[in-house]
Amino acid sequence: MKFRDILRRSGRSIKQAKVRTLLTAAALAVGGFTLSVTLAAANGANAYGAKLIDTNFDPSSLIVAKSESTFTSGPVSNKPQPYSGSLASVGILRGHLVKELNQKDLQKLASINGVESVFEPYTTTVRYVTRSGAGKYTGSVEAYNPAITHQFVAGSVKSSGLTANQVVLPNDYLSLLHFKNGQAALGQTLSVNLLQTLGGTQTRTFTIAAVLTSPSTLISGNINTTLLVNASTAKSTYDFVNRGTVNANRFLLATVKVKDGTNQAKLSAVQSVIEKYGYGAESAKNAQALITQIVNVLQIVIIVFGLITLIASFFGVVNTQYISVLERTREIGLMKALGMSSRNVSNLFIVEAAWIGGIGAVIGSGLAIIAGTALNPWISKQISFGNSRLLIFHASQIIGLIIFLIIVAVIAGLLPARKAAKLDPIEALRSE
Amino acid sequence: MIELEDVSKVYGKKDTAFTALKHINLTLPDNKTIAVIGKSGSGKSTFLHLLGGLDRPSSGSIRINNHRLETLSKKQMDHYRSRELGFVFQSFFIEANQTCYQNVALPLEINALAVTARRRLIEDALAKVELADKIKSPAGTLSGGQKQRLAIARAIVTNPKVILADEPTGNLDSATGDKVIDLLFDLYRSQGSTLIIVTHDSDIANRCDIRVFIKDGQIDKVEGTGGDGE
Ligand SMILES: Nc1ncnc2c1ncn2[C@@H]1O[C@H](COP(=O)(O)OP(=O)(O)OP(=O)(O)O)[C@@H](O)[C@H]1O
Ligand SMILES: [Mg+2]
Repeated sequence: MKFRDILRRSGRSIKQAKVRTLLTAAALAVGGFTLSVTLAAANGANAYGAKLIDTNFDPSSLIVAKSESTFTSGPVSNKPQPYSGSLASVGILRGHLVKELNQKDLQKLASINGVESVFEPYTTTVRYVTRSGAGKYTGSVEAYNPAITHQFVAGSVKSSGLTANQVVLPNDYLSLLHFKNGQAALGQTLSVNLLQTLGGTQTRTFTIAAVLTSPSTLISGNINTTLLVNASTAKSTYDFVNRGTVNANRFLLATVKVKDGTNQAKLSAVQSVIEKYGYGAESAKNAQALITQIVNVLQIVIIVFGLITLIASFFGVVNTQYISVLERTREIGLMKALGMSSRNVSNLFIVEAAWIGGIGAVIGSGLAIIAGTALNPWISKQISFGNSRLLIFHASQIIGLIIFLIIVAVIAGLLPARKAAKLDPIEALRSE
Repeated sequence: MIELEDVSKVYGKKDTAFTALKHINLTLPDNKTIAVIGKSGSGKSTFLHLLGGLDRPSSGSIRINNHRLETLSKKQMDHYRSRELGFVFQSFFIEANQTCYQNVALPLEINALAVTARRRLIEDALAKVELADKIKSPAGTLSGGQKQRLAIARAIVTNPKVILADEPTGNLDSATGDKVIDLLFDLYRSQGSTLIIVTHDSDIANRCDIRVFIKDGQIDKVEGTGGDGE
């Protein structure tokens, strides 16, 4: 018998038992749906992670802290610590004490063989940002890091960097400062008012060089209010505001740019030297690996649930096919009497199971794609994913999934198919 | 030539064993019409099943068309049935959900005949049983006589050397049954094959060249030309 004929014959049987086929396929579809969504969510999360790393980390740089615990457990300890000049309370770590870097540390890092430069953002909260005719708004100032990919709605930053009085303005300030759009803001001035911890104030005037797009990623949430200026301006701003306080010349993190750091071996070499000195160091890759790891663990959990539903539908297929064999005893007997080989009888039922698997898989993944595509913007909004999409469907994965479900159904169909193949034609023909 | 040599068939084992056919010796010539006659339970269907290779004898040897059936493997037996035999059953055994075309196509599909070669054979077979106009109708919608004619079309579409019919008129009224029998005899004449009919009906039996009477699993007598059984 030709495979084509087997395919068509089983296809006709499937069509005749439409309701039963669809119900059995529906069970498989649930598994297919869950697995499609899981795969898509993991794709989205990993893509988001990659984007996160891309827009916040320079791949040739290392993020360095005074000690490794800043990255891992955060606080040094929740118990009283021996006093150290480098211990500081850090807001983002919920008031826990961590050791901070100072100028000496930065110099030491800069002197390490293979280090190109040490970048410190000198993040400083300003008193307000304003412009003539506009209100006063909060914000902060930070050094522009040329190694990070920035996206602009208008203007650009030259490869030589910003000049001392240029600023890159976040998109969100445009309307607040009465600019029609990004283009209109270019070349215009704004002023930043600084308040010293010890009481003094200062106003600095900047020319707008570029306007940042709204960040699409969660981690850069504060970018909405961070004005980027050149490194020495950022330092002098920081020094002015923190003069005479414990915060002067102390930093949570520094970015160490490695010569030829895109070369993984060189990056790792410098990283191990830095760690040998007792600092904590993280590369973009480390950070991404962490995100990927979290995503993968979550994915495995959901996949397990998907597989459990598949086990249920597996028995559904077994049951349906068993009933199908019983119902068609006479038909099977006839086919065997007419000389159809046991193998072909078995193939007929296996292909039937494959049809059910294929239909279930297509329905499940189809619904997942439709629902995912429709709900993506809403989901992104709910979990502050910006322009990123959580559910990203890859054709290759969907095809792989469909093949996988067909294989599951085929395995489920093996036992009933065996029963059909073993039927004695005389017995089968006698059953009335 | 069909030859049975000391063929016995025992169903079941030990205390439940039942001997349905006992030491049958019989030689039947090719291209004849043969009636197998006997009371219910005498072993007619068993006899036909053995000839058709649907079952194997417990002992003895069967030779048909130069095959020794007991030596054939399962696969060879399938091949023998699909290429050289046509079956017609008392209760039709058509696939009600499929069209007439698809019903008649089944033996050709089993023989892996090219799709292009099938159409003409199927149309011819349906024309011979006067069902050409029903080619696309679901078989379930046919009348009893039409269903049996469809089964006959399916049996002859492969142009088999031997047609085995087990009480082909058993489920039909006598007028319809007569037509079906007329058709079988016409086809037999045009195809030049051996036709073996199991029947209770003496009218049908009398139209056959040879009549084999079976009684309690044994050959009671053989009548007619060409028959030279025991
Ligand atoms: N599978 C089986 N197991 C046990 N006994 C069987 C089996 N098949 C047939 N028999 C017995 O063998 C005997 C012959 O059966 P068979 O079907 O050949 O009769 P038959 O002549 O065709 O009868 P009928 O005219 O009623 O169809 C019967 O007594 C029957 O009960
Ligand atoms: Mg019988």
